[in-house]
Amino acid sequence: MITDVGYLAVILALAVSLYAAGASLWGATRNDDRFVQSGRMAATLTFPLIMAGALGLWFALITGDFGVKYVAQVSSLDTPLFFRLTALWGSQNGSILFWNLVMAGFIFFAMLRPWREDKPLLPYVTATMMLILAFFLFINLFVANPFERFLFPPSDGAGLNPLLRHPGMIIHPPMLYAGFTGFIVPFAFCIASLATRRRDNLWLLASRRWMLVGWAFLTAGLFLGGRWAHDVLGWGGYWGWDPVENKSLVPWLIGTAFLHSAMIQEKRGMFKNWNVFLMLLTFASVIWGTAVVRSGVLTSVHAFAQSDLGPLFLAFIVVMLIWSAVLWISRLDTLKSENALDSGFSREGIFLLQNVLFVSTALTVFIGTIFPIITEAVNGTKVTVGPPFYNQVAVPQMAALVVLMGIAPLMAWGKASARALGRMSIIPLGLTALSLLVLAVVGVRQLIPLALFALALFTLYQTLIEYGRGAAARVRSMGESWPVALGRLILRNQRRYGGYLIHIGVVLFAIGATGKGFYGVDVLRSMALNDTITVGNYAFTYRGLRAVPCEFNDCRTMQASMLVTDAQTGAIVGAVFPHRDSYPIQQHTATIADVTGSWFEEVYVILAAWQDNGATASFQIYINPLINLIWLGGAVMILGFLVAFWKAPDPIRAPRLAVGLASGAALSR
Amino acid sequence: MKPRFVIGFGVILFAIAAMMVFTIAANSNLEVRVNDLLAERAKGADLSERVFKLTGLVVGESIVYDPATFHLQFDVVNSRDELANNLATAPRITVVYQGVKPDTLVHEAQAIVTGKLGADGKFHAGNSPDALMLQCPTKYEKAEAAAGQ
Repeated sequence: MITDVGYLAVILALAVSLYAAGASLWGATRNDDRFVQSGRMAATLTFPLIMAGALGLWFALITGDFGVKYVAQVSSLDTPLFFRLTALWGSQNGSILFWNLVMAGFIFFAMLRPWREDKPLLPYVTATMMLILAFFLFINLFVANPFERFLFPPSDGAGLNPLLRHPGMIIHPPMLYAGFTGFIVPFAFCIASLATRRRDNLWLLASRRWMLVGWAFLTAGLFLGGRWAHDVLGWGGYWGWDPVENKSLVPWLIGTAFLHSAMIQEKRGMFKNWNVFLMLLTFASVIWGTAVVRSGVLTSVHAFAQSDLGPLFLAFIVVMLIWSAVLWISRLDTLKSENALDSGFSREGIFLLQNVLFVSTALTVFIGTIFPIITEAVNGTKVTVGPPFYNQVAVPQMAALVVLMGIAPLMAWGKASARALGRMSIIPLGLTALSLLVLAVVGVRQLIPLALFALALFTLYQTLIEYGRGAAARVRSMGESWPVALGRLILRNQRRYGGYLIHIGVVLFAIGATGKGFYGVDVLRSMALNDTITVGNYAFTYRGLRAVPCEFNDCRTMQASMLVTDAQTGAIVGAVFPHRDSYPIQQHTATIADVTGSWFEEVYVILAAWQDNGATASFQIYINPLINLIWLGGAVMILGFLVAFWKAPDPIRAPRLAVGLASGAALSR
Repeated sequence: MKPRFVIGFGVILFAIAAMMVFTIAANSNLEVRVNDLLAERAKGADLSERVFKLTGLVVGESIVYDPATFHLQFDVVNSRDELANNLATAPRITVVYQGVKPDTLVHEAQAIVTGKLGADGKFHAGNSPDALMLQCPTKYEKAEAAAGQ
């Protein structure tokens, strides 16, 4: 009953969203604010309505109402409450409802914002968002309906896919969805600005923070997805250039390009046309990405089942692309640049180059991903490209972006001086050379990883020096202590120093990815009880196998124990207890790795198989140097976002807070 | 925009495009189904050096795995229909893989194997981490259908 009320609410949401789009457009053409406001109110209403739908489905999941097909598909009597809640996005139909919920959430807050000088944009913003929401609600109700019921309800359900029973699944999908759907707000502002033929930066200023929010969610979603793959899939890695991973990376790359070039439009009135293009492209890539996962057109490890959503999404993308292209081209006259690019050797020039590289990297990943579709269309055979393609074509472009990240802050606007650039790079270059020497002594002697480390370290030192230079100026001129100067420096220009913090996060990630990629070890060994083998600097002793209680009611667990010692000194590094969970109902086993080692080098062990009750067992052992820098990099990027995004309450409180931070830093020393 | 910028970016994009073309030529794998590969072989073409990405459905009873040597072998057929109705006569290819048996390797799973068709008539998976991929979510959809009808 409650579930059916939820169903009804979602049907209402579709009707309301269509009304909101119609009323807004009608109000705009008749210049009647009553209709515009009515449309705005209606749009605001979609979020509570879809929330009612989600609560209805949650109610069915929690009470185990297996009469609802979706509930029987993703949960069972044994499913713990926690995973009944996350099962809302455990399979196709429910996850589209969840997608709609998150998207409507963004719309809700966009509608409630104070509309002042940007009020002329309102009807078009509302209409754009409502038409997109209506499309997804239509899919939810007519093609992928999570509320559908059985004629004869089964007594128990199939249970949640064991791979999805991981804490990461609570936050990874919501983060990605929030990242994807968050871009709807800046997209709608962009369309509205084009529709109203505005020449100013209004859409950009109004939507910049929304863009940043979407970007941060997408970043977090990408990192959490990598972490989930590392923890659950038992392959020691974090990224495999799978289509479903790529489809999140492409919008991230284009969105990042936009965030940078938007700064140029704000500061210098340039790149207006390009920014519109990037915004349209970002949203198009989001819809493309959704289509990739949802339709099953590409073979991927984690695609949803083949479904009939493909043609619908294709039609939607085509309509959207044509519509936005026509709108854009018909408004080209309003997008003239206020300044010309005088010299390539300037801050603007570097930004332009960086933008081109972001888009070409995105294009590389995009082409690699859809290559099977292209070749099938051309000559009827599907040809795929593997990870080497991305590593050889996309990674060099990313490495170039890392260097530009270090150089750009040194360049002046308008025209930079090569001498000043040279003078300012001496210290970071010196530090980089010194670090390379240390690395070479430690044993890093291959050319490519050394080069990659050098690029990343140069940018790291350069960015840290940037903080130091700013703080030093304050120490000199204001007589502040170093921690206070640093705190105030950041608070004075949060966008800038938050941005630099994000750069540091990227660099840490790059160092981690290089370490793991070039110095990771992976071996598969069979061992008898109490055997010892040596892998890398570690000795592994197999100590036995036993049955332990499983985390869930519907599975059984076998756990191995292994002692890890230092191969040279014999000192104990740690013990690992990798285990395998078997799920008889789902006929599925999950291999759960265990890790030990140090912060700088992870030892990751998987129990692959065993015989004779554990007299022998086989293990896959990975040694992942610097992999923790990858997770740290992700965390630092999100921290940087928070610094850039968070508005310091007011100028009186801000210095006090800086003092608080400073004394905290002093205490922790 | 000044011509020199256009030329500069043109050169960069051209270099990237060239890099893509060369890399694709060296790293692409043709996606085939069981029937396609068998038909190619019947034509008498020498396939031993071509890398294929073979998609097929796993025949559960054919799975043989030796945990001591990590030798894994199983058969794949073309379609779910063959698996259900005429398994005995359906054309099949034996896949050989060296490594841990994946958890998801079960009857009816869709296997995507990257490798080469050896002279022994078996399909030898390569040794990259994604040489053997398995897709199972359809099982849940099927369980749902079975429960409902």
